Amino acid sequence: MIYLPISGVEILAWQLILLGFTVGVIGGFFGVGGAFMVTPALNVFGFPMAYAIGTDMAHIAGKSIVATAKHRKFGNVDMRLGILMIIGTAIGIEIGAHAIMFLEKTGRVDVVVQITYMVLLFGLSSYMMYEYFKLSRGATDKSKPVMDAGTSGLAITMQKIKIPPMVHLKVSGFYISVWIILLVSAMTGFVAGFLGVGGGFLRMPSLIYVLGCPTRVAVGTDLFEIVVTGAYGAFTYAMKGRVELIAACVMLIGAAVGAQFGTLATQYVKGLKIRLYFSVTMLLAGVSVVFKFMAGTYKAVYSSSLNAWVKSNAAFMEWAKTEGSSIASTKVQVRDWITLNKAAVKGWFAQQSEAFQQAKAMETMWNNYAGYLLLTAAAGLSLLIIIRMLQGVKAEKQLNLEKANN
Amino acid sequence: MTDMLTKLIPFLGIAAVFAVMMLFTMAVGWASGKLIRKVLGIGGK
Repeated sequence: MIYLPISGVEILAWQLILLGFTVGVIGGFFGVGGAFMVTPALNVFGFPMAYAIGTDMAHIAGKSIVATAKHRKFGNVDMRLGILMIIGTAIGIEIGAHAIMFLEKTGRVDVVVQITYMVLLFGLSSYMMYEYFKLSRGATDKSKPVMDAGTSGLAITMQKIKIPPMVHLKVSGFYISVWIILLVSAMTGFVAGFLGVGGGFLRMPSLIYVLGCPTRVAVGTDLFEIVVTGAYGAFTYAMKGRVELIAACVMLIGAAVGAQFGTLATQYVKGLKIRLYFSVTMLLAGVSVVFKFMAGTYKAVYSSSLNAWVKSNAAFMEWAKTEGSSIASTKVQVRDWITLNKAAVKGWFAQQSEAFQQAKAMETMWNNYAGYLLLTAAAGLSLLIIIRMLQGVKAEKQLNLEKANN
Repeated sequence: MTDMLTKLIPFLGIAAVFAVMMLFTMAVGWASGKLIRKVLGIGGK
């Protein structure tokens, strides 16, 4: 059991190491940060949400460095593409974040964001599954083994657009206009900023289907981008005192080892199979968002009354003038105060009607379902990835042995 | 000057802590990578 001084939470070290390991395997294999899995899982372990995000960012940045270094060694990182993507993503995230702030002023956006997230996850997952079954059931040339799917029609069209300056992406193996890369990355960045997520789950398929990168290069290049964005995010949260450094370090022990397995596995699993597993991950993430959506409907029962009580609370008003003064939005101030003053909020619930208490219990239950689903998915997927890697290693050894005998 | 230093110290402090964290992660990653490759018999030298 370790005590985390910033958030005041006690947590089992092995839980953090195991979580870091599983997400490390998944991150190294798919080229994603994995915040969609870690943040709800940390929340299930009793981590307050405000600290879970910052701690997760620090863990993502560290893990991605290890995975990117390994992918670079395998020749899977297209630095030129990565740098251009970072520029476009930064612009897109900024516009997306401003769009969400504008929408927040005009009305309730939480539902819009959740529905957009669900549509994207289910849509991308379905498309990738459809594409996998189409290509693996003989739509491709059967005389050639399906190591990686061919360039999509959309990517071919994109590569035909010759707006200067053109750039030669040596690792990816094609010429493309710089403007196309900036536009695609800005669009994925915009959606990521709008949804408040890292966006690795959007960039990886965009690199494959829109730009035409081979799957392994898409994984490696996306991880390179996550190093930069994750480090920036972690730094911003740390400046606000929202990173549990001890928890991040413990998670990183597991993540550094897990990332080695995940990265190595990309060398033994076919590109098309990587896409299939990725689509399953997105499907499960989509189901967890549905659970979160359910939790949100129960939260709506009591949230306006709770918010009104917090805003009229003398302790909150004092906190908002001092410690919370750096937070621009009152909505975020209220949310943070609720996170930091659990005992006071519990006391408020005890005095409320049974309907409110039941709604709170149901909200917690659905949030836990989401967390447990993703935890199980992370454990199952990482196990599957390791098994496939071991099978690949065994097959390679067998092949080498046969070659030597011949 | 003092005001600027007050702002700069937490910034540099966090940067230093993060740098140490990253070095630690890379060391764990490097060592585990070597061990994994050795155990699987796919290199490790």
